[in-house]
Amino acid sequence: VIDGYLIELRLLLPVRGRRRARILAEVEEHLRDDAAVVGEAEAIARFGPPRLVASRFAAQLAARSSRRLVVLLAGILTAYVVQLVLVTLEPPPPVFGFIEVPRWKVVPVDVLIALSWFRWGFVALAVGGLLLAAVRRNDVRAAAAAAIGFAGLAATPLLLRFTAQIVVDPSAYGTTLRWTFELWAVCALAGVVLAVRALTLNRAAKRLV
Amino acid sequence: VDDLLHRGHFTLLVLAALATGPAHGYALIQRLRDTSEGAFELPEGTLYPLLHRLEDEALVASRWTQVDGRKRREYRLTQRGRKALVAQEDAWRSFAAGIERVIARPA
Repeated sequence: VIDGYLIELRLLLPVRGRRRARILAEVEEHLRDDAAVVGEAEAIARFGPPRLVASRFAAQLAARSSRRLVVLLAGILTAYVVQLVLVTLEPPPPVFGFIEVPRWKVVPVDVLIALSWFRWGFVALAVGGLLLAAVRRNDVRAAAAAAIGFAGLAATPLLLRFTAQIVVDPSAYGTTLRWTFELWAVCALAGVVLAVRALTLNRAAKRLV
Repeated sequence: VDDLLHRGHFTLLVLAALATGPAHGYALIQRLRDTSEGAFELPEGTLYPLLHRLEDEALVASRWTQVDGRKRREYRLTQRGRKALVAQEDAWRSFAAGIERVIARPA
């Protein structure tokens, strides 16, 4: 009976690897201890349905992912501020007069510049999400919104860089500033991965109840 | 009582039960059952997600130990956990005293 319970719990737990092995080992120890006193069926009845236990673990793991995400996002925010400072200290060379842009490049450049204005929406999403996540602790959706905001923000400098490559020589930018674009993109991507994980666990917790 | 436990008081009970010394999950449940004289009959499996959360928040620490040749995960209160316990005990006492004053009616 205990073996059947453990198999069911193993299938329901929304986590793998060492964490799942630890949970199952603890549950098995508990059930075997209790079964020695009250019998297997009673031990399982007292322990609670596997769905309930799995849902509580999913909620706990979602909260954990959400906390990690907030820490990562705070790091990304710091990196963003550093980048803004670097852009101020190391601006691209000023462009004087009319730049000869081939006709085929005019529309793509205009579109990219227009898209880059969305960054203020991403700034709002990132800052708003972070503030909400700080106020409402363990709020997975707030943290995920912040992650999406940061990912968008990471995309816009790359977008701007791409735009700049069309009209300005990229070597005009300083090395430090150039690598911050890539670093930023990697951090934001990690943020999105964590956000997706936190949201998946949160959904699993609700589905299992 | 179970409803009250789900509203966060389970954390206080677990921290208080660990204040008397390190214990693995099953021993903790027995400790809670004995000291409360069977007042709290909740699904025992819900203890473990709570212990894992408390560990994430650094209120408890855990390690594998060997007891009678069997591997067990033993939990103990951290310094931070002790501070959280004192704060939660104060909050609970003030809450319970308030309730008591309201429900105490002259006979």
